[in-house]
Amino acid sequence: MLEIENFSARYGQVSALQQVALRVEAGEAVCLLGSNGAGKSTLIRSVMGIGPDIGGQLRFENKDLLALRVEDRIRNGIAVVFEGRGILQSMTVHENLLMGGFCRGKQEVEHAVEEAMSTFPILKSRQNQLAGTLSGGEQQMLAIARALIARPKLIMLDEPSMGLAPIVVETVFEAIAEINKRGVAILLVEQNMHMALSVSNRFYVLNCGSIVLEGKVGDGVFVSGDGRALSEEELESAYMGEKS
Amino acid sequence: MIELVLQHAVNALALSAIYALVAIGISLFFGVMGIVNLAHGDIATIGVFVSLAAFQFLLGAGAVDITAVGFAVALGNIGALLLGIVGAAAGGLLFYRIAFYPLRNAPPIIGLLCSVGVGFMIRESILNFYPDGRNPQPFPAIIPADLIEIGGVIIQYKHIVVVSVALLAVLALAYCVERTKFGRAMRSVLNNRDVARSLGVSAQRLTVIVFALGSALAGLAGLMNGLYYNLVQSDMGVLLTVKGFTAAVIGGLGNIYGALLGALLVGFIEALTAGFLPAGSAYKDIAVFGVLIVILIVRPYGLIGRPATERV
Amino acid sequence: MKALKLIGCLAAAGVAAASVLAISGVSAQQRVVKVAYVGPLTGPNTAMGIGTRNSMELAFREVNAKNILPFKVELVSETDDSKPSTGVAAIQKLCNDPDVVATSAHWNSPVALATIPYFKGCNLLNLVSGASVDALTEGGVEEMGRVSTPFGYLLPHLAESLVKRMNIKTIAIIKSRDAFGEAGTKGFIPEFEKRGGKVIAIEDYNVGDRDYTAILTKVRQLKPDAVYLSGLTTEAALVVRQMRQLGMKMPFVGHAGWQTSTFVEAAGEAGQGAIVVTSLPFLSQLPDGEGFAKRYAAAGFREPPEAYGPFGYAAGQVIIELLKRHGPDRKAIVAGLRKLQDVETIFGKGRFDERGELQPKYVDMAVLKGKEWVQLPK
Repeated sequence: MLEIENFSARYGQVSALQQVALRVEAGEAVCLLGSNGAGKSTLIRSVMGIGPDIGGQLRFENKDLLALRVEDRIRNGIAVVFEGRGILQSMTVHENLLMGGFCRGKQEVEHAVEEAMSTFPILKSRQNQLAGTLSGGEQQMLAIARALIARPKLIMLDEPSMGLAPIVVETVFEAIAEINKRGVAILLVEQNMHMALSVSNRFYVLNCGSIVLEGKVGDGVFVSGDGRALSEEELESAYMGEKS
Repeated sequence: MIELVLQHAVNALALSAIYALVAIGISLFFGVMGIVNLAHGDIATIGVFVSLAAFQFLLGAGAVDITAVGFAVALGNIGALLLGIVGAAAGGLLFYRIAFYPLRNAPPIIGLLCSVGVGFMIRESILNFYPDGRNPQPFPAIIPADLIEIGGVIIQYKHIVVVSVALLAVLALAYCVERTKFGRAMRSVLNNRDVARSLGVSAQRLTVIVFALGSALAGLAGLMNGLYYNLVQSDMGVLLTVKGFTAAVIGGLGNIYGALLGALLVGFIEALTAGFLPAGSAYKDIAVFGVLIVILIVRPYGLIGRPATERV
Repeated sequence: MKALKLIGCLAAAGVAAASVLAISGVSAQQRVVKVAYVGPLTGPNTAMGIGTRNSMELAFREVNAKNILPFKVELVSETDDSKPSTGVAAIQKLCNDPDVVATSAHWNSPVALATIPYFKGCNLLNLVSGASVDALTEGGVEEMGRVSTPFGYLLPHLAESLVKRMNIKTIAIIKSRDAFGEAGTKGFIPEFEKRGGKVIAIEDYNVGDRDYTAILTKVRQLKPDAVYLSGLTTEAALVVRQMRQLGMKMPFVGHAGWQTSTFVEAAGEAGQGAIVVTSLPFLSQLPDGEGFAKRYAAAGFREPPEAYGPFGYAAGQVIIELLKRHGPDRKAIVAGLRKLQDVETIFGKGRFDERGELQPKYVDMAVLKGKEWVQLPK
């Protein structure tokens, strides 16, 4: 569904990503692992259309993404949840949800907002509260719920576990798994390797702007692209950048 | 004594109303685009002179006595005023397109300097190209000069008109901002530009709309200023910019309610300093800027402003 | 042979010298001497500046047409924008132009005060045709002279007229916060009090202010017999409009600083009945007033001469007289001013006193009736 090939991105003179190839199939959950500053967030921003200058191919359902404006990418079914709970702090919970459907018709949005609030009852009870007053976990839930309003086929999540207590992280990942189960493809960018792998079908490891390892996850076993079984140590060292 | 205080309050309210209309535009433009527009008051002046030209055309046509009472006259007057508002909006958009849009990725200081240049261009153009533009010109006194006296407090019809027009404009704007999709989009950009963009809000389109809206409000402020003082001149916008900007900063840039609060403060400080300090009129600006400095020390982001850390 | 060569050389030198003389003779006929006007040709008092400049230009056009000077007099003008800094820059520029031999500069007193040292520094005459602060000619600077009337002459007359003719006992003063507003106040208060009047309020404003309701509200409570505005046109128009709107019906008085056609336009109905002490004799009462008006109208200027036009014209006449007597020489012109004891100007026969002031000074009272400033009925 999402195909990224030969993809490079740069901020001015600084190269952020080089020759990255990555794909996400419909309904799949894929995680992109890598330490801080590896270029994961840049990739997500570029797919969404708000990233830096880019080169290479970005395709979504065989459409050239680079030719589409942000609102068209949203209409085609891409949504993003930013790191650090990218919610609109000084707007109410309800308004945040409405903004999730900014590119959709009024009636549809109202229906979708009702649906989201029944899925996340906590949001319903707080709908008139300013989003900035919610707890960290609630804010993350709000961000995810808001992304769903646009009825995406693919949700990209940037560090959803960041800054949350372990118990809250589990709730968040349960929600992600649930969304995936309903057929929405997931592209998960995480530093928390174990949590990320627990909800993913496949994984990529990004280091210093390049993919250094990719593979499948099945019943707690990791298999690299060339069919070799990987130990957790190997994964971790790739993640930490020692192998590149 | 009490009626003296009330009289000053009435005067201050009219001043505040005009300042508020300017301050809101300055505040919004900063919030959405991150540029302080020091030509905002001069854009108001464009509106005033467009309107003045329309009035002079009506008078020149001879048939119309613009102070008379009647349907056709009222229509003509309202038309001339509306033309002024449209003129300000169009002028604002023009300057946005030729001066601010090309600099949208430049550091904010460049945009600020550019706005200073735009202000000069507008003032000098009126000075040189508007007929007799060098001299102050009478603005038609279409609001009757009548007044109501309640217990020694004089309330002129002008006070009532200026304050209610400003109030209506602010209420309409508040409705737009709080209750409409456009308002949500605008607040989302003020709140977190990146998140807003990721949800499909086009910051560029929004900036254009905000600029047109802010310029129209400035035009309205200029017209109210003209109707209130009945005297307009090419550099009248400078004072509006200074007062509007001060009000916006006091309230907190990027927040329309802050701008409103700031405008009230500026108007009242001015009126009270001038009214109750001996020879106070000369010190009213010092008082206003003194309060501005104190507020910025105590609350660096204004009375109801928030740190701009969310802006990326 | 040698002698022949010598003669040849001498002859050549003679031809050369003769041709140089011939060329300089030609250029003497076309020689142009520059006299400068500096005043508010831009900014809020533009009308005044332009009226004065045009009138001065008229004097030069007339003398050029008569061909009585061995050179042409050309008027060059610079704006001071009513700002001291701009004024100083303009004077520095003129100082450095050796063709400029005399000047009439500044309508605004703060500007005129600021440029005195520069005139002194380059021996250039400033024959003031507008600025009315007394100090201009009190510093003993030879380069300073004046044809217009300073406050020293205006303000006692104003006080006298208010008390004796209009029976005004209490007054509120609203003044601009600069040397001009200050001068109009300082010179007035003792004269007014000497005659039994009482100043019950003094309010300052900053030039450019638009709202005076606060101070007027304060003044209104005090119920003065009259309000005296010591300032300029725009502010005077705003003040009188706001006064009348607040229902204040007492006389609005002042001085020639805002006795302008712009005030008439800008103040509208509210300006009717405003009274000023004027340094400007009514043209009908001047020996050459009517003639000046006719010639000015015939000269095709787009703008009216305004209140100060006759002073610009008189300054032109005096400078022409100095050029006639002393030639285009800065120092001689400066030295000649105080020796001028019989000069004919639009005001009739005049002379210059030790201060460099043209005497006699004319003072009168004017009232705004319709679109005209007319003589206040005695």
